[in-house]
Amino acid sequence: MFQDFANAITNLIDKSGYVNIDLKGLLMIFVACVLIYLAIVKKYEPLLLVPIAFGMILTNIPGANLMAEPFTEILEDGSEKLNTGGLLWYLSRGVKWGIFPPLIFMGVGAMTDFGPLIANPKALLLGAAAQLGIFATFIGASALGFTSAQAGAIAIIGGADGPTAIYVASKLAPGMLGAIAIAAYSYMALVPIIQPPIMKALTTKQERMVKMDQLRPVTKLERVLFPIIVTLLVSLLIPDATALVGMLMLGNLFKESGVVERLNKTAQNELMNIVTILLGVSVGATATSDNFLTLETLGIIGLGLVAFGIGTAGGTLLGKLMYILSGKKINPLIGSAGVSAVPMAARVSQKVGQDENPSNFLLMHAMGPNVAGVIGSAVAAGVMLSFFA
Amino acid sequence: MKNIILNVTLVGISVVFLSLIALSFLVYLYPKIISFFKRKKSDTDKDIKKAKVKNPIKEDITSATEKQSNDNDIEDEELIAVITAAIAASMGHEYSSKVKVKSFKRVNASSPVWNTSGRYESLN
Repeated sequence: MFQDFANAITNLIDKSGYVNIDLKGLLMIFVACVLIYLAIVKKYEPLLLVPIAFGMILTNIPGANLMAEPFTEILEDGSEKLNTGGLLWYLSRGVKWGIFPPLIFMGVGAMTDFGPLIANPKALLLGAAAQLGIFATFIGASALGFTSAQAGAIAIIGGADGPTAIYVASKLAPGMLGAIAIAAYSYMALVPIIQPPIMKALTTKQERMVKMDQLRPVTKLERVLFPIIVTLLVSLLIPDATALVGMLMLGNLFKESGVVERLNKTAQNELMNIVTILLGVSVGATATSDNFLTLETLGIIGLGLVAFGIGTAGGTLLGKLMYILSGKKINPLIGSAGVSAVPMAARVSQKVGQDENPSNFLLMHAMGPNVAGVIGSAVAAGVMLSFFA
Repeated sequence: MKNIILNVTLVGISVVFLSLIALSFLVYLYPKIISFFKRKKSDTDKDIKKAKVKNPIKEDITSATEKQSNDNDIEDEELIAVITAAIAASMGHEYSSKVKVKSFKRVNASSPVWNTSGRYESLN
């Protein structure tokens, strides 16, 4: 009897994670803890980084097998036994099958006000220019040796759009999903640090002081027509972007139509929160030590920074061009807001503008390019998917 | 290999720009199309009126100005209501219904609103 007891204890110890964990796993858990610190203490995009980081911890616990795939086992007597997969495996189907990111985009659309964009359609060009970061990074990533599909997934980090990056990565480079998502959200949180130096370097003081005319009021008809027109125009042009753009515009239609307040509220709140939780945990769960602790991850982190920088530069430079062409009426600082980290990038434009001229309120004007960038990055994602998916 | 990279980049950038330019063009046309439809509608209305009655012009003009001043009145009323509510809110307990807003005039701020409210907050 004592022997049985000793056996039971030995078995338990053998199964325990403390025995089975290796250095790589410990390192991953350490990285996850750093991310939790950044999210909770430094408040870096906590809504996503907290579940992502915790998912990372859970997936790297040996023996827990939370990411195990279900499989059918054939037992000795010939019968079949279905072994269920791990919790995180099932939750992560939402990411793998491209369900969660479009749903989050629907919530984003329900929270987005396209008014400043409709009032000033030129902002769409600034949103397009900021997506140059995506393509420049694509070239850089390909040059560094990533395959085209991987380069496409990494490049979308430059779109500064979490759900877009996750969606593309899940289809083009699933193994890098964790690294790409973490890079994307970390850089989005760092926008107030990355953007201002670039913005200031590319503009003159005189340009930064420009005060823009007030935006015209936008009628309800315009607001309701906008999502429909965008969906039709973009989806017919690039069908691969339909999932993202369509859901974004559906959410916006919920908001603008005014007749589905219940759906609007749910999309903005409950649905967003639920999907954010599931998405975050699933994304974190893909960051196993094998996937994450590679040189490629370092490359992704470096390229992500390049993407954001070039995107900011591209938007600001086109802003300068528009400043000249419009007869000094457009402030180039709003161009950098085309990097679609809503509303962070718009706030950065506001702050830099206000540093130069305290009575300058660029926020509303910068929101135009900011939300245009969301559409622009979804289009760019569609392009990448159409080429490589 | 290099071909694909160049291809994707060029196609990608052009597609993004093209789609957003097309979109911005459509949105730019919005107000023109809407006012075009509205003008068509009111043109046909005016034609019908002229055909029916012989003294339409004076009536139309007076009704048009009345309508405009009605609109202005409604806007002013709303504005008065909002300002009175703001006064009531900031007066708190001291407010009584005997306070009536007779007229209001915009005073141009000597310093931006944010600065003023910041100063106010740090004083109180």
